[in-house]
Amino acid sequence: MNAAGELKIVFTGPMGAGKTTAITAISDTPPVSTEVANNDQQAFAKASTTVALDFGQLALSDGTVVRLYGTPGQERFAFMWEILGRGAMGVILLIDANSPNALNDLEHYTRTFRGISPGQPFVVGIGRLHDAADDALAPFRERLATHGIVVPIFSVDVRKHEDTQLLIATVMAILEARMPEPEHGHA
Amino acid sequence: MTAPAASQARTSRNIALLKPARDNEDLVEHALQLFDSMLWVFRGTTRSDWTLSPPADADVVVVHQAEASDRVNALRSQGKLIVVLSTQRAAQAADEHTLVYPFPATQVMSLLEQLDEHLDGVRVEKAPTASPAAIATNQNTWSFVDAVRTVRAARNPGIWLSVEDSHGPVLWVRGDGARYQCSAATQAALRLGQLSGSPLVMERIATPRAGLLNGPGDELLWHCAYHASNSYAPWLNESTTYRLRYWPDLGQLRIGDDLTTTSQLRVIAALDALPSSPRMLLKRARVAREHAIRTLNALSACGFIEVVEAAAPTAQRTQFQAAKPQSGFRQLFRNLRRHLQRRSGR
Ligand SMILES: Nc1nc2c(ncn2[C@@H]2O[C@H](COP(=O)(O)OP(=O)(O)OP(=O)(O)O)[C@@H](O)[C@H]2O)c(=O)[nH]1
Ligand SMILES: [Mg+2]
Repeated sequence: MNAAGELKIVFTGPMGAGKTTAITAISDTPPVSTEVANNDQQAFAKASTTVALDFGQLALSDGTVVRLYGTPGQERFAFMWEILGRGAMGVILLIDANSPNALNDLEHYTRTFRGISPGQPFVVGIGRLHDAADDALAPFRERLATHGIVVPIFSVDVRKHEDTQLLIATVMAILEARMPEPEHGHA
Repeated sequence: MTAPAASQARTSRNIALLKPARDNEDLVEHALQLFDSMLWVFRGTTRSDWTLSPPADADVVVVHQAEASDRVNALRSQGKLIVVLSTQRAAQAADEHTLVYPFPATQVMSLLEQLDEHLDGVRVEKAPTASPAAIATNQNTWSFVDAVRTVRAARNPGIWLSVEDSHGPVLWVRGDGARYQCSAATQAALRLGQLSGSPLVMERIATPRAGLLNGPGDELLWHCAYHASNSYAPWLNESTTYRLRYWPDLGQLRIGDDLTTTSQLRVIAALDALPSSPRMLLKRARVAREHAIRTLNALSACGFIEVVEAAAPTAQRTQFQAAKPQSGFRQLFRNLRRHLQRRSGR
């Protein structure tokens, strides 16, 4: 498998953020995940976690296939981020707002991926936000702003197809905006 | 028992808005309205109470810069303080009593406090005139948006305002504009730009009704501004360069219609890639003119974009290597959008 040569979108984020869920919501075929019993209950209390990676795909009518990868959530697999992210059309970072580490996770993942490939479309989805706050996304925006980083940050529930679709549509819009010249025909 | 506090008796100031004798451009009307709604929203937050009055009874008279100078001089000679509204975009404020449209609410508030202090020196006791109970906010399509913007600038979370149409209250805005409340039906109308055909009036109230949806203020302002007009908001300039400060939360603001969302995403992404004037953006964003204008209106109303003061910005595109689809990215994206839409209809 030539991971850098294929059309792909990568979902990343810490354990339990919703990567498997997002790929399940959008993939044509049920994702191939390598779920195992979670023996790191300390990091996140859930029954199973993804080792290696999640893999789904979108098979388009003209035969083109867009692959969807989810990076493993456990920190000890962080070496795979760069391999998976390389050549991807975009990286979608998912963060669980309820996690006590949410802001640090956001900063860590964003700076790592921006460091690997600064021009790559990068979109953040924040799940499980409490809407009662006046501007619930403000702390997330501000944390990245202190590093001079402005990226799309959306409140999402990736269990919903439309929300995951929005994240992918944003990756496409960013790529389109960077294309120097219009091709023949129009949208 | 303590003695009645003298500070509880608030001073009342009279202020007049002088319409130009000759009927000028819409912008003059709009500037006066904006000042009017700001006055109203500031009630209770300024040191003194400011009440609209005829020029003859006023401590302060607000005039347009085109006002005849003999009329202005006559008012000055009667001891009235003059505030000048300028609608020339390039105009420099001639002095601290000149407001260049679109003047920010904070500037008006500090000007009022300054005038107030000045009047303390020259004050003659006057009977307070009846204050207007409410402001009608739909004299033009932007006045409701302006009213909400003013509420946000006033930052008064201790009060609530009700917004009424001819049938009664339809929604409630907190005095800092950061929250609003309404029924599910009103929210649906708001998102589709069908809030009300009849005049909307804002009025100060104690608390909203119970059992309403509670949403963030950005949502109210975004949808109102998006639907206000298919031409530019009065404060936007076609040839001024704007940059994206941050992305709006489309997870919350999108209305679930793919065409609208795609257009909004393209406009925002185009601005994010490169600061642009609206005129340039219309060429770059590859969306229908109306969609681009509406999205810019909403972005600017909510403060997501700002004017770039410096000279022409340089391209900020950073290259990265993505695998290239055989038929090109645009074709790929057309297919991918169609694919996802079909599947969302399942
Ligand atoms: N409320 C809410 N729950 C979510 C959301 N996304 C995921 N979940 C739930 O969170 C749990 C964990 O989601 P997963 O998709 O397994 O998370 P993951 O990122 O794949 O986690 P690892 O594989 O362990 O790295 C599941 O029970 C999901 O149903 C969301 O946006 N909102
Ligand atoms: Mg997983």
